[in-house]
Amino acid sequence: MDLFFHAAVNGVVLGLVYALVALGLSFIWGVMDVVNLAHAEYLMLALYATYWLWALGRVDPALAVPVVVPLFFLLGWLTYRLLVRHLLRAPLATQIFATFGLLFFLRYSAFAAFGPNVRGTLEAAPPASLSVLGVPIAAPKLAAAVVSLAAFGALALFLRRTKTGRALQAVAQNRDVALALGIPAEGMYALAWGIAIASVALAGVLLFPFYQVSPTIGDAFLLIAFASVVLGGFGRVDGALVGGICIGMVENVLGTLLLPTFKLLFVFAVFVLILLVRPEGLVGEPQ
Amino acid sequence: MSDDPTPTSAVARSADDVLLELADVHAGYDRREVIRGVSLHVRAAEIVAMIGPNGAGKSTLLKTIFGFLVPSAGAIRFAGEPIAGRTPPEVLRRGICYVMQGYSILPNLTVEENLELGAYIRTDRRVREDVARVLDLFPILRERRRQRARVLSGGERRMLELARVLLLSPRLVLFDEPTIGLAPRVIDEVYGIVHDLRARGIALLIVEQNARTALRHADRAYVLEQGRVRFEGSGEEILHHPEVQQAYLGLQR
Amino acid sequence: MTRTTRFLLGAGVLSALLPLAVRDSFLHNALILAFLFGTTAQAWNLIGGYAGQISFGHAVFFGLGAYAAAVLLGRYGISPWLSMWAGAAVAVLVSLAIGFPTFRLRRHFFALATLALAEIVRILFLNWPYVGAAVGFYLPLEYRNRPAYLMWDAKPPYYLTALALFLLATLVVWIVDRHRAGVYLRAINQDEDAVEMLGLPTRRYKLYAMALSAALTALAGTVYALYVLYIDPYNVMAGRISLLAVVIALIGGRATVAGPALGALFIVLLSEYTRSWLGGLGAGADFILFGALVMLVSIREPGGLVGLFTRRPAVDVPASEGAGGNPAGPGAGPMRTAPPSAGDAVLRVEGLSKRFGGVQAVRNATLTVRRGEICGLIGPNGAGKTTLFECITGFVRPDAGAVRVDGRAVVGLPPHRIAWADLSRTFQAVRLFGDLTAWENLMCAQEHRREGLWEATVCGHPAPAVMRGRMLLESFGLWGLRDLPSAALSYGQQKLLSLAMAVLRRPALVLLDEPAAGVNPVLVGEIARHIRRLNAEGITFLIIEHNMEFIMALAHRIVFMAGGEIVAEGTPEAIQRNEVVRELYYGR
Repeated sequence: MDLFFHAAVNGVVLGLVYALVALGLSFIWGVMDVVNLAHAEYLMLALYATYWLWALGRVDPALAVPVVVPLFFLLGWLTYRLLVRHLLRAPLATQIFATFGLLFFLRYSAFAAFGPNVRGTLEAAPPASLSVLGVPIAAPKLAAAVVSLAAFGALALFLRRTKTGRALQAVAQNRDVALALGIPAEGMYALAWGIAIASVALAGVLLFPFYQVSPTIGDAFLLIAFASVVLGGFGRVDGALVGGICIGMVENVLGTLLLPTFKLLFVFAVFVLILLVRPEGLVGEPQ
Repeated sequence: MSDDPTPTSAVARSADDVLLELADVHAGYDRREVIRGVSLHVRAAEIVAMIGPNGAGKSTLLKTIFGFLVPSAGAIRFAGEPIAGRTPPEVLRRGICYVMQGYSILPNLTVEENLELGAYIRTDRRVREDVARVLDLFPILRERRRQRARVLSGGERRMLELARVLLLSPRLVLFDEPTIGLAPRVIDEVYGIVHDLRARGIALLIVEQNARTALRHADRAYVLEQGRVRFEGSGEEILHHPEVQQAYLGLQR
Repeated sequence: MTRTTRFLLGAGVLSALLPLAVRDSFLHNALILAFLFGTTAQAWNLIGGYAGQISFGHAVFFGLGAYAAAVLLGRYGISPWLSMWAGAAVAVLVSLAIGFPTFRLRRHFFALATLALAEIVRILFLNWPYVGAAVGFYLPLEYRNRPAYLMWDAKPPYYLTALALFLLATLVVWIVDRHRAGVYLRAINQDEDAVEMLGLPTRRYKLYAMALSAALTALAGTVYALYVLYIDPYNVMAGRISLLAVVIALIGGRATVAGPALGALFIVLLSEYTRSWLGGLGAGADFILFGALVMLVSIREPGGLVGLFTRRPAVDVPASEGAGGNPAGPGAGPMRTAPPSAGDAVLRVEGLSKRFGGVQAVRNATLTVRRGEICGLIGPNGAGKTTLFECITGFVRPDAGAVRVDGRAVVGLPPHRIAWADLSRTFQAVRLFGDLTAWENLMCAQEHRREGLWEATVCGHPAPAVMRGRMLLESFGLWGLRDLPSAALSYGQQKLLSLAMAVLRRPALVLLDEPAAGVNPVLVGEIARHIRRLNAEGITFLIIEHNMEFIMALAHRIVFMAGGEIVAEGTPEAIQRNEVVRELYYGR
């Protein structure tokens, strides 16, 4: 029981970061009905960016945030301008192919630039840990969870309280009505891409202290992100949060109690199960 | 609200206060031409009704004026300036509002947020004041200003759309099917507001299927059929034209 | 035999002789890989190209084939001639397991699920000691040079095996392409709902294409394992394999027989040679290029290499629309036929209701259509007429109420089963399969009730459908245009074609949604004549229409809907005189 509880608390903590990974994927779908298969590749690139700042300049990950996050906002904006803009009126198949091409383009660019080696922090001393509900949690993990939650809060505030955030919601709800009110839909789409990629980059920086990076880590994170989004409901910010936490729990609890090597298998099982019984997700509404 | 059915054709106007002018406009979707050469005009502070059977191209014409569709031929001028090919936000900034068919509200935002977004193109700091003032004009909306717009009834949705228009003080409003699905009492209310708008100097081009109601309130009207203007005249003239009835119900001549 | 197939046969024979002429071992290796990945791409083409269900997990099937051969040979000495079928069978089961839950959802779910599947199976194999886990699996070398085990020291036998497999895959795709199944799969790709409502069980066809695709891919995996003699999850189950299948098919040309062949030569040779030129430095450089190519091709040249060569010249559509029709409009045609004596009910709708969000689209609608009549359904915009159609045809599930077609309760059945209960429909905005020719569109509408998958794969269109199809196209003035893609037809011709599709299999009941909307007055008259003639053949019609002149002259009986309710019904004359109708339509 104690083991179970430990695993559950750890799962929630990790799940909050997963939710931040999933956020952008769900957000882009909600705003413009595009599935970005290359989403997790941006996470991989952000981890590399943080790694190189740390390895070459000894920049603490906490200080990397103001560098990496704006940089990836720009990258997301560029992705929209250069690629996604051409896909808006294209059939779904074209969107799927194009973002799949982007996935391999980014992954193998990282291969060519950084090599296949696994890189990360290899600090000798285990990091300090803090106690949450009597469960010891490593400080960087806890920090990552808290920052993720704060990021969700900030996005919610932005969407609800600012004029631009509401305009973004308007475009997502009905593009034509938004246009009739004078809201530039194209600009809002570019902004949405900036936010989505910046948020997954933030997740990357947060994961850096306890995750190692290689060009192929995108695979596992794409699965986690998709499972979270499908579980929570496609296109919903709150869905990503709920889904991410659930996936973190599933992975940790079942992985710890049963077979650690197959923890992703449980995530996948949940994913298929949700597709079978409730494809609209936990938070979503049927049809 | 005003329940005054008398057409105000008595108001004298010169020919040069034409606000909107369409000359031989053709438009459609893909391979299908829906508007087949329409010419019409709307003067300042005038209520013009456009009636005609389903599928005549009325809504398509409004979409073309507002820039959702680009005409394949013909000219659209607003206040003397050609606007064909402009995007909807550009047309809006020139002073044309468009109230779409089927409730153009944002269902997941609150009534207040809907109103504030209605003033999206305004950059001045008085939006909040104006929203409060507009809400005073619509007590029903004020009651529900913190509720999501999806809970509003059909009539309340129409009120919200019209309130949104008031925040922008446009020169022309394109109004698509304002009374569809509304109870008679609410229809009167909507037309009351339409007259109020006109009293503020705003012209309206109203597409209606409910011909009789529209004609009673309009200064002038056009009958559209198969993408062409079939009749033009004052509301009274059109109302009693035998062929209009025939176009609608397929009555034998 | 078309030019392409002759070319393929010639190329096949010539390439079989190639190892005799050229002894370049590097080239042999490159071509062996081209054939194996070409086979994978050809297999992918069936589901991803023809059916348009995009799989990013073909590495799984490839890997299953490879592992089946390696493990069964290594552990039990079972010949690959047998184990390849075991691998194919497992691949088929896995493909059905992933297709079954996802094929009823929107398309990106399938793409996502295949990506996820690939990752999961790779993890499983990486941690499964029985198959060598991360260490991998060496094929036992003592079986080499025995034809019964398909393993050799030299490259030419592998070359021939790989070539034979590639030709087999191409043949399978060719057979599918040339028969009904190919047409159906391409129709599914373009508009799944529309083809489902023509009576085609779409999910069954998608699962079929998926299973075929998985089996062929597994065979390629088997030969690959026998060729490289060492497998691990990184070389036979990597995302690169899935990517190669997609890239080859996409760049060669999706949904064509020749595309994957061209694409395989181009891509694999490009990949092998750049790798050898760039040496160790260029690790993955080819995949950066492929990623970029996929983005570029999907946006700029969706037809791929084949599309570049076969791009259609601009077609001149003869303006036959309405030609030869009766120019005087519907009124001047033969007058309305006598109303049928009270026949039995073909369609019975009882108490049907449907709500969307806050709007009650249909409210307690009860309606009977009698055999042999033409019934008009009219009413203002938003009256719920189309929603009523959607509920009857099973596209939308009503909240309450019953629908009986020919006495059979159909609520809750999938749309193709409702179509089998013997009705068909057209759509308000024409929904044709734009890339298919007019003839192929029409043939999608044939009777699917007793059609087996195998029959659809190896048989041409049945003679009765062909004869009736020809008769319909001739009388509609479309026969000369039958080989044009339907997207190239004028709007009026598209309307006529969809009418022909609705009546091809002579269903008891045909629902037409605004057949006269958006067409010129001459053609409106012609459409009216066709409907009358088809009605005289015994087909019952229920027609939504806004063109009053048209429907009042055509229908025996009119049903009037407003606000989701059926408000009035009667003869056209009675409806025209009805005060309620006049008020609702025309205003107070």
